[in-house]
Amino acid sequence: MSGAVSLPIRKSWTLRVSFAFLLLVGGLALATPYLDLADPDAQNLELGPTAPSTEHWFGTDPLGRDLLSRTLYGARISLLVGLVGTAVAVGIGVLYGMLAGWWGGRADLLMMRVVDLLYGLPYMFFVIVLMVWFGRSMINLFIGLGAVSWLTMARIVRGQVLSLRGRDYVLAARATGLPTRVILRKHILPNIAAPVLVYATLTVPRVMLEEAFLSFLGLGVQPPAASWGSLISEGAVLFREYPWLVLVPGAILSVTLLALNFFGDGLRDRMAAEDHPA
Amino acid sequence: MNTPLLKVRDLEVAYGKKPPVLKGVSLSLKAGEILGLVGNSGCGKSTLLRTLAGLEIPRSGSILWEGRERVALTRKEGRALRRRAQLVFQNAREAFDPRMRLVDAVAEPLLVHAPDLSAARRREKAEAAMADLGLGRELMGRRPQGVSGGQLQRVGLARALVVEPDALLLDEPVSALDVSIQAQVLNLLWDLRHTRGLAMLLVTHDLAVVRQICDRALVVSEGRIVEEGVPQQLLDHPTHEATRLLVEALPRCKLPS
Amino acid sequence: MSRAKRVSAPVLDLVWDDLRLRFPGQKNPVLDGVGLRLEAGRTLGLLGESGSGKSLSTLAALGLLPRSAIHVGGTIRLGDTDLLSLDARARRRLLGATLGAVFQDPSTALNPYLTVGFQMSEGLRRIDGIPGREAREICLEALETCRIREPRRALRSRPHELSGGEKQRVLIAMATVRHPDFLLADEPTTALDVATRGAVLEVLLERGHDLGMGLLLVSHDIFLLGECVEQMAVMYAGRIVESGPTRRLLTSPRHPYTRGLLAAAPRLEGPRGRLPEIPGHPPAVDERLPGCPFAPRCSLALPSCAQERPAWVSLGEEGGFACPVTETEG
Repeated sequence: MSGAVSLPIRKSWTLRVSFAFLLLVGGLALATPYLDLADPDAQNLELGPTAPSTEHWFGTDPLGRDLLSRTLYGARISLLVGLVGTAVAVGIGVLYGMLAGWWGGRADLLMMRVVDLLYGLPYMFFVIVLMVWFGRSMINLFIGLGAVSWLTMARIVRGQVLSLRGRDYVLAARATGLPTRVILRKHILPNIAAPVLVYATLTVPRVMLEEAFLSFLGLGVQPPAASWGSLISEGAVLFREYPWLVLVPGAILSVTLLALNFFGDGLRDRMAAEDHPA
Repeated sequence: MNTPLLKVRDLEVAYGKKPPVLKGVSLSLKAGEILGLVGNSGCGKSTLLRTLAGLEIPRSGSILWEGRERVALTRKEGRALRRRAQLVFQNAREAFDPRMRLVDAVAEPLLVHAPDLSAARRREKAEAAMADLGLGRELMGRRPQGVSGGQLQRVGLARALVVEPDALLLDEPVSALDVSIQAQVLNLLWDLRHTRGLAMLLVTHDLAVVRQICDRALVVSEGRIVEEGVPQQLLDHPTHEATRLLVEALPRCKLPS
Repeated sequence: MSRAKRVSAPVLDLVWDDLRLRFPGQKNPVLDGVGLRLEAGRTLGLLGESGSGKSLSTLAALGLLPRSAIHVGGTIRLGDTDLLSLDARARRRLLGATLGAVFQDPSTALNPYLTVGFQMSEGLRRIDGIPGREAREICLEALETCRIREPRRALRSRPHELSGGEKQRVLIAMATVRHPDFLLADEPTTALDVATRGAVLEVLLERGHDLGMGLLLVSHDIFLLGECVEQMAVMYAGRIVESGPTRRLLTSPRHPYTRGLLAAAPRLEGPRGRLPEIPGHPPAVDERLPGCPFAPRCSLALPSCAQERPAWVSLGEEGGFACPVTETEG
């Protein structure tokens, strides 16, 4: 009916490959407890560190623990931190940005200055202090990482809302007297969902990397539990003698982060193509 | 015709600290009257419409619906008043949420103005309002992208009419439409006035449109009303400079009919 | 007033001959046999609503079609040259020197970072090799004839310092500064404030007349064209449905669409109230019928109209139209 010409969106192989890879990693992480794996915490001091073999595909660490099992259990924690941390960031960022953009004027000015101010803080230092102060628990890790990742999300959302607020269909909703919360929920939120989703996808790898960094510093997850970051950290001391202890979890972390970034970029390109079909 | 439906007195509207966009605007709209508001772009005519729709807060002056001050009302009364004057936009394509089905968009004002109705009943009313304007069933489930501009402007009118208002506030309702569609929408407005006794405030820059369907017209220039009269008289004997410019801007090929 | 033309040879007509274009993903052609003749030194109006293909026809002549457009058939000729088969270099030589263009939206047509004078004299300096000072004089004269007040100030200013109407007049001056043989103007006043439209149109027509240019004026407004041009062509759904001298089209139109448009437009005199409307809406490209695309909206349509492509009925000097039903009228 409409005259718009919809051109075929160029199929992006990076989007597909990265999506397939992420499905694999996610599926494995979910299935880990049901797989026939060695106990990740079972030590075998007599065995000690061994190179990858048919018995232990990824080798064992100095305490004789199976590295394959530890890497897969580590994936559960790394991904969980990435997802929950991002969810916290999206929650705070969307709410904050939406209100700033909707209210506009002086409230917006003030709220965005606060964001600018927080941008200026060395936030990693912030998280470190938080973790030291409140103890190294998973909950604190989620909150800490989420709380420093919402700033950009808030900015993106605010910009979108600011431009949507002046659109005629939002004016039409206001003119009929629809309450603000209904307008925000029914007309604003669905129309900012696409950029929020894209940015969230790109936030996951950032949070995961930050978790890895914290764990590397020994401030992340508590041993004997392991994340990819803490595995790399444990392996790093023995890198010269047993390089697979770093290389295996390091490679998996890198490829996963890469896939997440490709996936987010691909998603963004695709949505841009859908918004401007001609 | 004792109390006019709408009476505006000495309205002043300004954005922030800037000089006012509207100054000392007074007008009245009788029930069942089509009043044209003509002027150049940026003259303030759209701001006036938006202020009457409750989207801008006037700095001073009064807006009286059937003799009652709008700002002095309780929330509920305010909502009731809001129902009586519905806004219709210039660009119908922009005026609909791209992610909402048309029938839901038409039903939406009922959420506010008839909150007791069930969802099914709201939908029924929306479908009836659309059918009344000649919109087929097949359009109702579509989203705005899938509908032509002329049909979408009808949907815009259906959304305004679903709450049974007394007046329509029309912001350049035909200027974004294709030439062959404009007459359809103008005829529809004309018919609505006759069948439902609706009053209309029609903002436009086109004096020919005003002459065709308006009973009376106000010329707005630089935030003020500078001339008022019957459209034909404004066309034939403009007195104010602004009116004269608008008349001169019209392509006039006098055709031997 | 104007300089002598550099080319003294007689100027040829610009002719669109059965031009057909298609976009990928659509089964029907978007331009379906467009034929137009813009005579040297004369004015032609191209009337059509959005989606009719009037802008595409203009862009095709300028070589500015969207990349995805597929040339199905037909030509646009200037003498022996087929404009559609020119390479980029030959086309560049043509633009500005032979073909000038003015578009709808003046706000985006100028580079905001450069002065008007720089942008305007660029073609003169770089292509014609005219020294800066002399080029500046030529620009000044062009601005003056386009009724820019204080042309010296305008030359020094940047686009944002000009009003919409001024900008469009600057663009007309710019498009004609190298004295092209043809000027193609696509809805040049539609985006402007009502009060400035008249003045811009006047400048356009005057400039065209003074330079002896062939002027193609594209518009959706039959009355605007009625005031301005000698010949008019009416476009609907990718085809020319009627053409001829403006006076004939306005007084005795033969195609039902032209008649419908004239009847449906709000007038400055005559009865008020309901207008004789054209029902329905213009078809999207893939909704077009193989026969006459106007048939579903036409009150005179016969059952055969939807299937058989109407033949062109020539009226000689009075142009022609494509309708088998009104052909039989006296």
